[in-house]
Amino acid sequence: MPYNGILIMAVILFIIGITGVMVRRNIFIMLMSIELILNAANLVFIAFARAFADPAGQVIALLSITLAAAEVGVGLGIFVAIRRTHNTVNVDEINLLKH
Amino acid sequence: MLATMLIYIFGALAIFSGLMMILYRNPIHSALWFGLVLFSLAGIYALMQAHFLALIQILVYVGAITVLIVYVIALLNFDQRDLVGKVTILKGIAVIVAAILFIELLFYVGGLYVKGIAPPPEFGKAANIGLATLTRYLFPFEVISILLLVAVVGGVYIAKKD
Repeated sequence: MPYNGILIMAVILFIIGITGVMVRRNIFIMLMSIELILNAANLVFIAFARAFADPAGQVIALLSITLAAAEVGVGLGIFVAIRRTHNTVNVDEINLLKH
Repeated sequence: MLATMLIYIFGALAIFSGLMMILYRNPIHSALWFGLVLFSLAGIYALMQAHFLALIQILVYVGAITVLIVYVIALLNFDQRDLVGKVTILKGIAVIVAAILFIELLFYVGGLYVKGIAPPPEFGKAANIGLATLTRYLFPFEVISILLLVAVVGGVYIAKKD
């Protein structure tokens, strides 16, 4: 198994996610970039679970997928509320807690 | 040997789709590229004896999260001026910071040498993961179930009209 190649893939995916969060200003693309960061972490967990023949990594990856689902549920609810009050999806224009 | 080649193919596909995801202007296109990233990662999981997690990845991420994101983007129906991105000096600095972080992580990962041992054939099956989840990792499992419940209630409360 090419563990080093997989780790480098995970690093590249992580950096793509970080760049997406920092550069894009659309809240949907920022949310998807955060999901990409979580997926890179999951990839490392599963690679090391396979390398050390320990199911702990897979259990933690399972919990992390659950966490991502919860995050998307709350995040999209917030986006719907922001769209209703601020009428925008650009994070630079969202600067008030109340409208 | 075939598995190694397939892992590299899936990895290249995931990285290409990830780049396309952050480069496309329209969030619907980005969401579809994001679905392709998740599919390729599911392929890598399946090749690394995580069959159960590969199925969960397709069911939860591709089947639920991507569809939910596409649905909400279509529901919000924002106007086109939101899609126009401006190139500012801050974005240039952000890319430079990301490049520095990339080189740093690459140095760290390049110094590792992971030999790995061959896992038993039943490794990664649903029974094996279920046993570990419900015995050694029971407490994290219960905590994440409470988190999921709170997230469902909170999502409904935030999104509903008052």
